[in-house]
Amino acid sequence: MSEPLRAGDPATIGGHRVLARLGAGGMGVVYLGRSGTGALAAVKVVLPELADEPDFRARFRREVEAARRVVSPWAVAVTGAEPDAPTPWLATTFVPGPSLGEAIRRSGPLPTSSVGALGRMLAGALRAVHAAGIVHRDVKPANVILAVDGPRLIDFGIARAEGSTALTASGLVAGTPGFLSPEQADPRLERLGPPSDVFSLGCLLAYAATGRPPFGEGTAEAMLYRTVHDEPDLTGVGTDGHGDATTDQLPALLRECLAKDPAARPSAAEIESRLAGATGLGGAWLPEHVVRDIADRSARMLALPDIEGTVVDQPGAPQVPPPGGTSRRRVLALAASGTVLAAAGGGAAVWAVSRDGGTPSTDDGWALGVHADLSGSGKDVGQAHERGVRLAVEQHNARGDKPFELRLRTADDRGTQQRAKAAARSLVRDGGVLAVIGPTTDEAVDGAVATYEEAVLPMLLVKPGAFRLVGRQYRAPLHCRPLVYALGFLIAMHLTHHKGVSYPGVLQDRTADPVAWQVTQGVVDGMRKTRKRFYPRVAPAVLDDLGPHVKDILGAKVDAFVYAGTAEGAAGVARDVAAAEFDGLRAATEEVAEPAFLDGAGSAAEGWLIGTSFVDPERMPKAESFTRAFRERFGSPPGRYAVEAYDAANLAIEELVSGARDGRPPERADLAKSLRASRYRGITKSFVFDPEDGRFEEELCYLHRVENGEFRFLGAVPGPGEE
Amino acid sequence: MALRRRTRTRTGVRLCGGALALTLLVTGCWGGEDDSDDAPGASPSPEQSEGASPAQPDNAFLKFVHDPSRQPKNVAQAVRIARAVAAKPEDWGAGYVKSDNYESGPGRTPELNDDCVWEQQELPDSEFASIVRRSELPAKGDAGPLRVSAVVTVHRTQESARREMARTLEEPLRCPDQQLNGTERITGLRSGGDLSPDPSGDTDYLQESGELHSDLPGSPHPYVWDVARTGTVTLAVAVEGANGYEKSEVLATGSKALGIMAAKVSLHMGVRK
Repeated sequence: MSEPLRAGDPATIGGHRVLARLGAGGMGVVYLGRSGTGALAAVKVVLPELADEPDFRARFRREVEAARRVVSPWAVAVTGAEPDAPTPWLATTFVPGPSLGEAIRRSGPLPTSSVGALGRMLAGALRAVHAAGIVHRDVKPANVILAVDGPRLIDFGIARAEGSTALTASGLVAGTPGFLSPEQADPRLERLGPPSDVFSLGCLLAYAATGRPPFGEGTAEAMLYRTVHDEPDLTGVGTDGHGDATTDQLPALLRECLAKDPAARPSAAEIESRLAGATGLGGAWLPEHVVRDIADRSARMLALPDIEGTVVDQPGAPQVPPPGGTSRRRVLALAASGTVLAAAGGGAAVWAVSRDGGTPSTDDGWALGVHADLSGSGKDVGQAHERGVRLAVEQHNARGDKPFELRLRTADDRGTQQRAKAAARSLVRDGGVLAVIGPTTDEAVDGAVATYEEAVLPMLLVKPGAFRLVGRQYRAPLHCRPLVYALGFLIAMHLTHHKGVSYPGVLQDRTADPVAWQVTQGVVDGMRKTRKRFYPRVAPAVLDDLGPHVKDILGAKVDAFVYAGTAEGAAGVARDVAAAEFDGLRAATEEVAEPAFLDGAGSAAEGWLIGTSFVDPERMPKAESFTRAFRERFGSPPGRYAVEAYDAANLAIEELVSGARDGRPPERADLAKSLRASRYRGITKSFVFDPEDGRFEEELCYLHRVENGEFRFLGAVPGPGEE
Repeated sequence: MALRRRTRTRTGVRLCGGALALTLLVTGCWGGEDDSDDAPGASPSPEQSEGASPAQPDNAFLKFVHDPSRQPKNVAQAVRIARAVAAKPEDWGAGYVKSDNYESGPGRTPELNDDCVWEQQELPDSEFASIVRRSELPAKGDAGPLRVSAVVTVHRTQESARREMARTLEEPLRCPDQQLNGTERITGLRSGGDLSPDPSGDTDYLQESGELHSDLPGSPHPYVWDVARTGTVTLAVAVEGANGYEKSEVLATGSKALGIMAAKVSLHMGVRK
């Protein structure tokens, strides 16, 4: 997107020396220019063919006049315009910071205190915009630039495509899905009023607080549909403990902003006054790491050739000397990122949508994706994945010797197969995403795999453990955990090496098939390997009662009991086994390691051994520094699968870095191949894969034992020789 | 023990197309090499899954929905259905003929006893009727003969049919080696479950495969035992490999016949579209 100047590009526009091309869109080209006084400006030049349309110049003039009336410290100022020039142009102050969207992708959601302050200032900007008789129509994270003293709203409606339909067959909308109001989904754009901007502001603030748009992600159609029909998902807004009396009302205020009925929404002025007390914590409106990011980004922008030494005259633009050794190539890559795209204004709206339509774009730089259930029934696991990967990405970005920065791009599928496809599409379309950690549920894997496979976008599976994707026809999946078959095999080996175990019983509960079947195959193979006799039973799916099966197995005088099935089923089995005063070893696998087992079985769960692919990092000396860093970053202990996701992310990062040439990471398909050939020593395990099918090759099973109503981590199942 | 309703946790993922018949006709879900290597990580036999389309076929033949009103009420109706469904020589393909001892049943059925030997038993009370039909593709030169059989059992209830499927899965767990009759013995039998279980619970599919030791030249040969359930009816086909037939042909032969039988059950007992 950002390129060196081309042959046809002007050397000067309206007294601005043109320094670089920032972007191009449906309405024209945006240049970075320097005015006669040395100030940097974003100079938008309108396409000549548009300028020739009969009423264009009149409208352009009206809009510029209106924009000049917008007076707010939080809206970029129009510094010059020539509607009647042969090629009409418009200049605004140039803010070299990252866009809000970019900052959140890189550093995560903002603390509640910052969201409150952001809301107050942006509401002030919108109040000024609305007072000037303008409706912005494209309030979104990419149109908010962050500076140390506050945000800047850019691109308020000047020379932007008019009259586009909200949604056509080709997916073109005026605006950005995810941040559109319900009335923008309606093609009658002329009826849009200020409440539409308020709705978008609500979406933007929810995004700032949680890192995800309140109506989810996915295709434009799906997001628009949810915007019109669904309630917003505000889970996580204002719950980080960084709020105060003013920001405590944030969830309620956002809900009002997101009312379907425009008349029910508060005005921008009302939002501003209700958030008057939101000033951030300790005088700084942004957390320190975001401020550092702004300074870093601004410094690199200023390192553009021909800009060095330029005096920046904007309030708050940090005066940071450019870091040494920045190559032009790297700077241009950075210039292609969100800041500049956002400055390109009107065109951005069209680009954002055309990205949905087809060719992947790498405009925002390289990224790791997280595909997870972040808001459905599996959100604890999904959020643990997301945090583990986020920590790995942030640690990578903090390294001095990194060949490139990585951002984090998340997609939420709420654990459903249908949404998983949309989530996968959104990650595939972001051409900067080079590998994805996730999905986090089996259902979602099924919904997503075809999409990732088509793009050969590596898909690193951390939790899903069945081997159904193993097949030579797939190139994208990489199994980053032992198969459930291996868990069953090793649990069986573990049991049969115990003294006193000579005739174990095995119950396969088909309710949990195909996983229960795979576990059972492993268990049975393990027992055969050690030449143990065993007593197998298989219960039909959704049988009302497993009791007769348990009774039959115990009646065969078994001296150990393995159950392959669900957590709920295991609870009943545990009670039955306890009621029969069975005193042999009892074991199950990962699917059972859920609260439903502990709750349902009560004291009967005590002593059960559970074979898992996951560890408890807090009880693992090797994971100590991870656990410390995690707690520092997120203020809470790592959830289940966080350290496994962290390992998987670091595996991907290592391959990206080692495969980098001239500062460019490998392509997706090359990465998919090299990942399968890689060997990586993580915190939780060593990663070795079958190069043909991406299957995890290490034979590994971790043990947990239920003690005092909790799953207590015991470490890896010892190999046969180690007992 | 008090009866309780257990929540069904869906772990199944539908890679092969959910409906049974599609699975069978497309033969996409199975057909991998039988990796009898007993090291951990060795794949259980049905190792390959194909295609990622969670297709819900709209073809009436391919999606069985149980219609209780078409459930047989007595043995005579059940026998009529079993005879209509059980594969005849022409269902297996051109050139197949009836074997000696072509049909048996409907009141007796083979059962695997505690010593891992198959023997004829009286039909249990929970089953209306069971028909076995044996066919073969006669030997041609060095190839063949390809011996096949089809079994149809009409149960009184879905629960009885589900229990039979569970028993079928138990068989290779307790008896990886089985004596079929005086001359035929199976070894290394492994089972597979459907990687994409039907979420409606109306259909089910399993496959077992192993090696058949017999008096045929070139023994042992591949042996496949495909079993399906559509509603209250269980269907099974056995295909015994022989010289001149690849294992993939043996697998495909069974899948095709089972698919035809499943489609016939849909015609006779499924919800009419």
